[in-house]
Amino acid sequence: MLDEKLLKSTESDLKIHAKALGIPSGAAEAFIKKSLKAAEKSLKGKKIITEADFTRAIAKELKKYHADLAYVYENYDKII
Amino acid sequence: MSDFLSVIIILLAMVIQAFLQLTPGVFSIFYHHALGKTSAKKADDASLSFILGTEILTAIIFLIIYIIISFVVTDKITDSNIYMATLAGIFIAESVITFFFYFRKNSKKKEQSTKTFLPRFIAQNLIINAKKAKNRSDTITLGIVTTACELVFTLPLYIIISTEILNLGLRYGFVYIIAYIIIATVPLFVIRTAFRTDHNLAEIQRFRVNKKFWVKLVLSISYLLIAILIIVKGWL
Repeated sequence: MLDEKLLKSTESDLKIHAKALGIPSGAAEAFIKKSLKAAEKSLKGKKIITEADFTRAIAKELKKYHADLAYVYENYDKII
Repeated sequence: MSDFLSVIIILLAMVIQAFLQLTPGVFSIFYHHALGKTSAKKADDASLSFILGTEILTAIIFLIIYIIISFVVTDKITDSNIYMATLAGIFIAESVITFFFYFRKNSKKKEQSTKTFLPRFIAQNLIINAKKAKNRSDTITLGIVTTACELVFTLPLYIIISTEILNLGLRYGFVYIIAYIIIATVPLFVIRTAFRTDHNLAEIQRFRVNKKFWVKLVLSISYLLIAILIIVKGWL
């Protein structure tokens, strides 16, 4: 089970990214929630989860709905 | 001939300034976050404060260096071979550094990164502050701090331009100084226009990643050309 606080902060970060990318808020909220749930599910079996694993899993799920959002989320700290 | 070479050196310095990537990177993160938190109009207004911060520090440092060189450093020193040889050496070093170290190497082959030379704790700090910037004073400060972080690459440019302006005479000097300060913020205005015309951070970042090699090539060659021109000027 992933930390609830981490999931909440990731969700709010993703919402900010989605708004900045011009994605309608209703649609964004729906697929962000779906992606987080799916990512959580895919990481369930792992004993040790790194930050990179977490980011990669979410980006993989987000890619199914919005490629730009997944790209921004995955590469955000690699811009500078 | 010497005047012509001075003008070429100043233009090359402007090219380098326009191609540096740290300020555009921080600016795009900041603009993206501002768009995510406020309205497009507010983000647009705040971006002008960032640009103003960049212009303020560029102008201050440029004028300080210009004053130091024109009043403290005498003509005897600026005309001496040692002074020009030292500057040429600095530019050769900058040429090597920009090619090999300006951008960090990707840790993985597929990584889409434009990570710069900055120590990671400073880069993280800039990212956090770009996210948190709320009011005008925050954004002006962010612009100032970001410009200061790039001084390793811009300080030699200020010195060489000031030296060349002194050689050309003050009449044209102010034109070059103003042109240089404007050039420093042209990339930021380009990014601002991109955001305003419905381009997003993902598109801008993909473009930056694709052109990364060319950016470092242009930077490196421009530094090297300045070094060569300084040496040629010394011979004439």
